[in-house]
Amino acid sequence: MSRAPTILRSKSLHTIENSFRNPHFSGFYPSFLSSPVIPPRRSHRRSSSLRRSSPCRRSDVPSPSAIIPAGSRLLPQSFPPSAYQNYPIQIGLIANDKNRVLVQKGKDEVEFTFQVPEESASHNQNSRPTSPDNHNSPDQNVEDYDEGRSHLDYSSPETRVKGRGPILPGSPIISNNSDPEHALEETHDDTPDAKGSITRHKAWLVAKGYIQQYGVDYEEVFGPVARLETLILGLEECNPTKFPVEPELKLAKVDGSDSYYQRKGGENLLGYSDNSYSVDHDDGKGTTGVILYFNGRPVTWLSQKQPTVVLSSCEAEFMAAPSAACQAIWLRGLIAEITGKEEEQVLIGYDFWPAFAKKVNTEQQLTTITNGLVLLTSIINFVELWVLCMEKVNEDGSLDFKWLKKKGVGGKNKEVQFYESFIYDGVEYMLYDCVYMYKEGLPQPYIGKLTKIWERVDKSKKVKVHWFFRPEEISKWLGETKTLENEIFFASGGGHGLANVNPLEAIAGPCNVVCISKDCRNPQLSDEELKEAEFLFYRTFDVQSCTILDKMDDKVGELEINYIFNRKKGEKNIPFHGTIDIKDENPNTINASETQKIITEIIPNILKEDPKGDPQDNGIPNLLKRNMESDMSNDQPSKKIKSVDKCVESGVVRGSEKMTDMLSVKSKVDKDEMKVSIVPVEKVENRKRDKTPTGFDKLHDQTLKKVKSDDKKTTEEKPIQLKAAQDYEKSKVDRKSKQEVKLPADSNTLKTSGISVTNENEKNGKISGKVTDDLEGKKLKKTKEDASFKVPDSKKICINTNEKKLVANSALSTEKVKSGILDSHGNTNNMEVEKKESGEKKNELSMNKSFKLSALSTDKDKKNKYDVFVVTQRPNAERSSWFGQLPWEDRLKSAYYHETAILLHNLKPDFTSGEVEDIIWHAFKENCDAKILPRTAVSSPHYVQALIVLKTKEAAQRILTKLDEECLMILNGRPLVGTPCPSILTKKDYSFFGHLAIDKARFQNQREDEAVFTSHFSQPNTIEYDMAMEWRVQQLRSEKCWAKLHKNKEIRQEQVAERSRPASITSKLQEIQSEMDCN
Amino acid sequence: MGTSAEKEYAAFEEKVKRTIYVDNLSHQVTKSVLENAFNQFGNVTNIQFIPNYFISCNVYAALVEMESTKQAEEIIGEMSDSPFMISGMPRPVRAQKAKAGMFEDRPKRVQREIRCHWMDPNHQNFEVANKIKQLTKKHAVEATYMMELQIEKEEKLHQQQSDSLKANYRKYELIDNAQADGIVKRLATRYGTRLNDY
Repeated sequence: MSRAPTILRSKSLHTIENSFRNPHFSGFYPSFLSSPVIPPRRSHRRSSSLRRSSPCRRSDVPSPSAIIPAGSRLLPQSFPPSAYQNYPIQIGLIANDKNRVLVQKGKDEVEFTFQVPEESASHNQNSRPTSPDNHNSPDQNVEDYDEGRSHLDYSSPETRVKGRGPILPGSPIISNNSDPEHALEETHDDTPDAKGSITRHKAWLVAKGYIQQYGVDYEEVFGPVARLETLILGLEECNPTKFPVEPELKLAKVDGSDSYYQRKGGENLLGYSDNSYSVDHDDGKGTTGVILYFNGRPVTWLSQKQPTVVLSSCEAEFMAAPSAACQAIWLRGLIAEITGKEEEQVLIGYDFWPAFAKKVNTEQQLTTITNGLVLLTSIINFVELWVLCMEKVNEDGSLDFKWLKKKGVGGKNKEVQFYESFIYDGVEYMLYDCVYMYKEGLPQPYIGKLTKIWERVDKSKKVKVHWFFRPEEISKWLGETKTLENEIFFASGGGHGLANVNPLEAIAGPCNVVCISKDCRNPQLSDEELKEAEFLFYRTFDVQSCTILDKMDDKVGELEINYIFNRKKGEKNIPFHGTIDIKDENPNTINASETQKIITEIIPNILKEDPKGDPQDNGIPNLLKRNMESDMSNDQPSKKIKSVDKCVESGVVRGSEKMTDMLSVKSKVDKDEMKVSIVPVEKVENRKRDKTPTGFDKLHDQTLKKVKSDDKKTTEEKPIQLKAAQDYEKSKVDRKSKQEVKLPADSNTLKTSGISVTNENEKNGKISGKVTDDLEGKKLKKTKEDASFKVPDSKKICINTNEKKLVANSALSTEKVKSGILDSHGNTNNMEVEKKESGEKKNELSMNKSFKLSALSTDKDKKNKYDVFVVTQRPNAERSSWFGQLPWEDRLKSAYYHETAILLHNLKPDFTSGEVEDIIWHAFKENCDAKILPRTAVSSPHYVQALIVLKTKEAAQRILTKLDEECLMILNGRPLVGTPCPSILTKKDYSFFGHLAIDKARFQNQREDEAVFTSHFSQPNTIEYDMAMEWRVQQLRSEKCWAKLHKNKEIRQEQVAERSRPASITSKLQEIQSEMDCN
Repeated sequence: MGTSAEKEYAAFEEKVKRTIYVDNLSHQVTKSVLENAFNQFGNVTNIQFIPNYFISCNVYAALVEMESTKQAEEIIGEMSDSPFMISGMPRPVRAQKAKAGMFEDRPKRVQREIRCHWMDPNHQNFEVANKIKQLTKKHAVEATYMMELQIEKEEKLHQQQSDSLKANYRKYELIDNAQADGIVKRLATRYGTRLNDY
């Protein structure tokens, strides 16, 4: 059918009708729309009614006499609504293209209106009046029908009966009447034919095989499928009190409402995702698990195999997370549809903890994490969600808070509870801990010391904070006073600015502040502790006089001095865990496991303004409270950044020997991380700014500032980060050389403190452990007892060799190699880098070596000729074997002729050639080539022989005589015996008995013999077998003889060793001979 | 030398277990012959001949490394049950488990010290040591003599067998020829017997 437009004139209804007969039109209804036969009469006979049918609402609908593209799909205008009514899902996308919505006005003003079903509601009234007419006269109907049929030239009865012809098109007006009554009528109207000739079934056309074409008849297909979640959600929605399928649930009418179920005020959606890494052992795929709660009850859940193989649990997590997000987004839409309210928040908990807890020791894994975060962020960003990282979602869903240790009660009526410790945001705080206190509008958080913690009767929690001052804060009074990096000042004196009472919720996080005061009352800290510290202080700032004081009295402010100084061992500050929790204000948050780290998505529509359960009514005006509240939620992004940061950080940390995160993040990771998390936040912030009322305008800036401050803080805390990844190598070298310089050259006590750990980490390539820089090289002076060891002066020379050995030996030593290479003075550096264990190992080795060397020296000195010496590898042992030499056989031959070969006897069977060479070198100071003679079945099991080839005949002679005259004892009292080399076997001497052949036959089959070697078990009753048996007997005899001989030898040797009794060898030999003869 | 040497030695010991020591070999036996021979029972991974340097020590042996210890043990058992002939040699080869000392290139065992000392001539044990030395030398000579004896015996047996073989061969040759030139048939017709055997 040509797509060329055809102009339809007013009279040309036939044309249109005819066009229905076109095969392309034969079934343009979607299956569910397959309508009963509609008499065509309606379209033209009842034109008056049709005329009333409304024109299309659309302004862009073509005017009458518009162009109808040939092949356009035309829908009958009076398409029975029942067609829609009877099917639950309405699909009205046929001809919803504006090009296909056509109006045709004929001469008799027949109007063809095609409407998109959902738009047509308003037109139904207009088109309605047509039907009653039809009702009234069924006969006419039939008549009309017949007429229409003839009109359509359905002359063939067969067509009619079989329904093959396009019987259906009635008046082409889509009537999308949603009125069920009318729909019923219409259906009725269409059902039976008065003559009974044709019955009209709705699905008839389809059943008869009309085929619809994609793109022509329909564009979308929907299955009438309801997702389980919808049902659950529906139940959930009306029954917020109990789980819908709970057996005890009784239906009860709620007062004042028609509903049997009480509706709940605030809905919330909460999701969790988790994964199992590589559960399927066959294909290595993991499982994604997602569960979404609505109002605290699960509405949708899934546990499915992941579609692809992931490389790490982390990656699997990133795979699981978006699926939860997608589910949440869909569910959110559904909820919005059902409840009519947009869900404000969707919290989705991602269990990133295992992922990050895994060792991150390859660049690839790091990249995976980074990429994963980028991916996640982009996904979430895309659907207007933002990421939060949170550690816990508490049971009661409010602040993650728990009192720990009670101190006492106080106040007028003993109503106030004092506490010593509490958990807030998953971090345990104790009295006299240092904390960060956030305050609105400040780029940096305040730092303070908790001096009092209490809870009032109204449940409000308070802390008294004794302040620290940053140098910036008191720069006015600081003047020329120089400050250390990270130095802060403790407030002293009295009055305003010393301490304040704050709500406990203002605590933003723990802060590791250490006192480096040289005061004897102050417990001194180790290097590592110093490194871990975020801030140092040793001076105070008098808030009254505004002066810096170097000394601290017994009491500063109201505080005892021992609370100011570092805690003694055992009551150490709780190390900062590197994670910050989300203050989840959602009352319905479901409990998550304690250690779970969660990234939370928050759909950022509106800030949460619900007042919390514990209002802070201690004089804070309502507005402020509100502000704080929103501040909280605004805090979340910034915290998120921090904690995402920390998350990765801690992952890295865990991957690298559990150093505290403060020290150990590679700047690269950090940067990436910051990028990842800042971007969405900023976007979201902007978005939020548009949405939020003006009163909150400041919050935006503030949050960003906090982000910044976070950024800054992290950089401050981790001087390591300052080193870019590129500079890594360089810095390492720098550091080494620095250490080199700092170490006293003559000192043999080397230190292996924190540095070793750092260097260990270097192996992982994560940390450019610039240890000495951050604390001004202070630590180097300190030595840890347990990690230090001594290397004797005299053995220093051997350390380089040792290094090589170590490399070969221990896996740990890989980084040592590195350091060894980097540092030309491998000696000292190597010692430093080593961990304790490897250090010990090395110590051992060096001891070993030194022992050998000492042996060498004694040997050289010849102080005592008859002293025991230990045979070690001779210095140039390797060299001899490097040289390309003649084959051993050839050398032996020539040595035999030059009489430089000696046969050594009485060597221990497990000696190797190299060891023999060493022995010769140590005993005679001669280099030689030795070869242990391999044992055969006939050789003695008790000792082996070795051939040595010496350089000169003289040397050989000397050794022979010396061995003969003197006595060289080896190991357990074996004297070494040397004899001149016996005659050497040459090719022509080869003789072998038993290879019998018949000369003639051999001659004949010479070629074949060469070509085919047969080896077989000989069969009995052959000559061959008999011969073999003879040989067997012979073999057994000789075997026995050899055994006896060796036994005798052994016995005799023992005898000699015991009481040096000479044995009569000749007689023995004769004995043996006779034995053999007997056999 | 820590773990690597130990590992090496352990690997070597494994190798020893997999290996069969074969002796009574003819000098005509080459690596490929051995390989073919032992591939009948399993998979040969390596073959190594034990070098023989001296005329006095006439042992021609080889180490055949099989794929697994089990294979090696099976082969040894089978070969001790029935005589195995390589290249149709009537003298059957003998197989036994290989020992570490048979390998020329065995690795050093665990790091150990070799302590040596020159003995003080005045020491009471000096005499004993000297005697042991003498004894060792004599043992060496004995072993050589023993080997000579063995070879002598072998030669004797060889001679004997070769004689009988030749005699047998002549016999068969005679029969063969008789058959070939029709004598057998003629005799059969003469004596009226049937020659069904052919």
